[in-house]
Amino acid sequence: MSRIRPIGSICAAGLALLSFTGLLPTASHAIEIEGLPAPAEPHRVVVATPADKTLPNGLRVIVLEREGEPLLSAELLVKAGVETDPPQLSGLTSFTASLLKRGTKTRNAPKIAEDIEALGAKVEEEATWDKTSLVLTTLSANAEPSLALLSELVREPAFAKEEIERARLETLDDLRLALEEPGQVAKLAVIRATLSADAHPPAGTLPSVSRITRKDIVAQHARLFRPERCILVLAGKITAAETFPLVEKLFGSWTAAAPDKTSPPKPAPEAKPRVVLIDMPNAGQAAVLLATPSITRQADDWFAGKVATAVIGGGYSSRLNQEIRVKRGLSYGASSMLSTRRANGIFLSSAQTKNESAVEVVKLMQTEFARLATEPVPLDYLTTRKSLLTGALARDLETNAHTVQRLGELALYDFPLDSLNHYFDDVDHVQPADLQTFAKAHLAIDTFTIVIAGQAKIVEKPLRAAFPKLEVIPLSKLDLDSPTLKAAGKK
Amino acid sequence: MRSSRLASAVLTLSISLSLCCRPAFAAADESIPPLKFEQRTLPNGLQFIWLEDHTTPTAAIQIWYHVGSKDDPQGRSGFAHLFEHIMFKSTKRMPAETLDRLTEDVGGENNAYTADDVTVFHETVPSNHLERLLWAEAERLSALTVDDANFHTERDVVKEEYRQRVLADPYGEFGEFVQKKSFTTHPYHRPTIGNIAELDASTIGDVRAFHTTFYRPDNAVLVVAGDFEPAKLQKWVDDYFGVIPKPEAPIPRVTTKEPDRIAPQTIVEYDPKPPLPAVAVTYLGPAARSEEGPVWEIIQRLMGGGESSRLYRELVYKLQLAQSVEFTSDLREDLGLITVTMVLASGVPVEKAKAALIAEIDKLATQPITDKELSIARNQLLAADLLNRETDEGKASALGEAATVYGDPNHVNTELPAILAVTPEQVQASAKKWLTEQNRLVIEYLPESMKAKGKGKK
Repeated sequence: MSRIRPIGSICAAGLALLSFTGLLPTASHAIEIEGLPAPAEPHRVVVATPADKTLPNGLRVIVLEREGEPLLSAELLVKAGVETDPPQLSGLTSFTASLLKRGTKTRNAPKIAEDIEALGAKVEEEATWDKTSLVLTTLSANAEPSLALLSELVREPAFAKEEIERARLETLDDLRLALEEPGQVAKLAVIRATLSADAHPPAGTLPSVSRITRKDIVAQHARLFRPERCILVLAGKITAAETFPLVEKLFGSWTAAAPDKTSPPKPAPEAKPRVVLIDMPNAGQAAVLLATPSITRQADDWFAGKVATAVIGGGYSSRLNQEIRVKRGLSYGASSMLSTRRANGIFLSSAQTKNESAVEVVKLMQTEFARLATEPVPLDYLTTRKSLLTGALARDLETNAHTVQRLGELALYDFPLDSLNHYFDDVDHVQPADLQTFAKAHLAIDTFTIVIAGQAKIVEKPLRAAFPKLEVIPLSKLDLDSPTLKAAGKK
Repeated sequence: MRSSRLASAVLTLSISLSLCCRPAFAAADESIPPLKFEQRTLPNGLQFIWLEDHTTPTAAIQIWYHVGSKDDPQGRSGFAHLFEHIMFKSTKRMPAETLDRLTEDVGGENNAYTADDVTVFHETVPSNHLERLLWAEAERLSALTVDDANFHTERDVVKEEYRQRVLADPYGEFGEFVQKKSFTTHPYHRPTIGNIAELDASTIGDVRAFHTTFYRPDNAVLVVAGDFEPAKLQKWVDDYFGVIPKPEAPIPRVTTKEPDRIAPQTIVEYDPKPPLPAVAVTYLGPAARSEEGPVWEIIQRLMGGGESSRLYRELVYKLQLAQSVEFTSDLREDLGLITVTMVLASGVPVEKAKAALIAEIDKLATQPITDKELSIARNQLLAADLLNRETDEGKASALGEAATVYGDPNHVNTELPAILAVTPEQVQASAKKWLTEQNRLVIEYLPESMKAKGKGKK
């Protein structure tokens, strides 16, 4: 449908972060079906360990040589992201990153687009809570001109006034469009309400983006793009022997503009759980989101959290999808995700359903959160949900881009680069009791914030009956710059 | 999201080879080896294509059925897609959702999608599970059984899919509207997802009839790519698929001809959901197997692919009239549809944006494209193709599409020279032939709030 869908994909699908393929050593989950042949002996996946070096200017460079097509993927990542947006300027990091391709000291925006695309290359920027990055994919044969361009984009952005205004108009239109989609609205709102000050919308809001000045952008660029704060990860049909000198040549002279005075942001106090209905009178479907604060990326129970999330809402046969879609036909899909960062984390479940079934979907989700704490997960089912995680890793390792992403994630959180080699074992070690412990500590129903974006005239009455403390916020009064979600007073 | 993504476009975006011709870059055309597939047709008519590759211990299995939403029964718009969902339910020997037990439960994945001309079921699994998937695909081809409860629940799921895709997306109904209005006679005018009323009208009897009519070995292409021993694979396919009989009844085909458009037309429609006006311009185009196919790959890329493309550069970047622009050369089996859609930037008058869009399209017929543009298009198509080949699934998709949509699996290897040979003159000739005023339909899709205002002015 992409040809007739002018804007991005629907939120509920976007939330299904786990992708599922690959392989698991054993299939202990026996199914008895007449005529069905048994699986054969598995072929094991092998994860190579990349070469790793830090240049004198502090830039860490990670190179993985891979067989396959003559392609190369690279990610230049900054170990800081949206969390560094100053107060009143939500969206600044995203906005700054989006301007890197919009002009350097020697090339204007159309020339950059033309030069990248003529190389058969693609460069995309990304800003998440604690990471900002540029991701390059190109032909191996064009490694040098492509990486030279990447270096120029990061080191010599022009931030021309004209480009800033152009990007501002585009961003504001994007934000307006997002506010028409119940899935997007509910997701931004539930994250904001759950993590309080630590969760402004990554792309900002209409007022905050309107406030951003060139000075803010230049300062944010200087704060983020410093060699000692960056990691360059490369994978593809390249050799470490050729790539390290090439990177040294193109990035070795990079120095930071000014001394680094930024201190890591402090985590904000967690918000109180709430039940919020955002009234969208034209919503053709209601988006139902339940979220609770969760663990950090470095937490000891991270693998337990990932497996718990897979049991509740990972894949087609997760408990949520079974109950909501397969058994009851209430949604095209229900899923959950666990998003973990350096300083915080969030567990989130979502589904879109007709307005009439929104409350039923909330209750089905709550039932599954509670069940994980009270009942041990049957071993054979647990094995299948673990396979989702290991399978996703195995499939990611088929492509350069996903391999780079996996390695970059390890480097970002200071894990050893050979960690993927015991990923299978780490997942395998999680036991039913670990999931119960995790659920009791991190998935208690009374810690969840519930946000529904849909038609109040249908949803409000039954929702209030179930949750008397319900707050109803008309879409026109929604303020994502505030943890209260409500526009402050009248001005 | 699993089970049953819906794709009306026939995947043409990703399948193309090209070379780069700028001397500074690699001579990429010569460095792309052909895909070394093999093929045979079973006595029951099943076309079987395989490609051995042991790079990763995985295998991709796909079945392409030559049936799509254009084959929806009368009064049952959306049925081919609903049926695709039902294929995940029970068979004579498999309970509902067994496909998920055999794929995601062991670290694999599965999905399916329905397009105008084809319905595709695909799985990727650890290679030691390949035989089980072949068994299961043969089982649901030959022994689908459906009960009332499963049928009704899955129909509700499809209705939620409709709400999510069409109603919850501010431009969802716009997309459906463009499809409906672009064809007057041919069943391509029916959106793949259908509508709630016709979904509700469908019965379990329709399911059985549809399976019997279209889900048969001589209407399918099986593709396996990845880690397997060829001799074992041949035996498995013979054992599980070879025993399925070939029905005697002929396969019904759509024979309706879409009449040529005879005059330019503009339709104005209002909808409360879109925050910004949208405009679509469509032209009837050549069929998928037309010799013009490679030309339209180039045109799609140079008009709408990436920030160096003409429509982005002019309408979004330079003139700032549009928030987004898309150009699709959707060459379907019976005839193609060239669709250009634009969401306007805030505050831009519709007439102004529309005129600029049409002027940009018209330019393609009046002036030759530059060598630089041609070179960018080629390199981007080349890179897209290489990226597809990184995975077993990508290779299997390319082969399945080549066999089903283009009628020849070797199309994966012959498209490269064809695209290489595309000249600026050919681009101009195709544009002159199809992108004419007479062949043009313009749809203005406006926020409801503009209704009163528009009337007042006129």
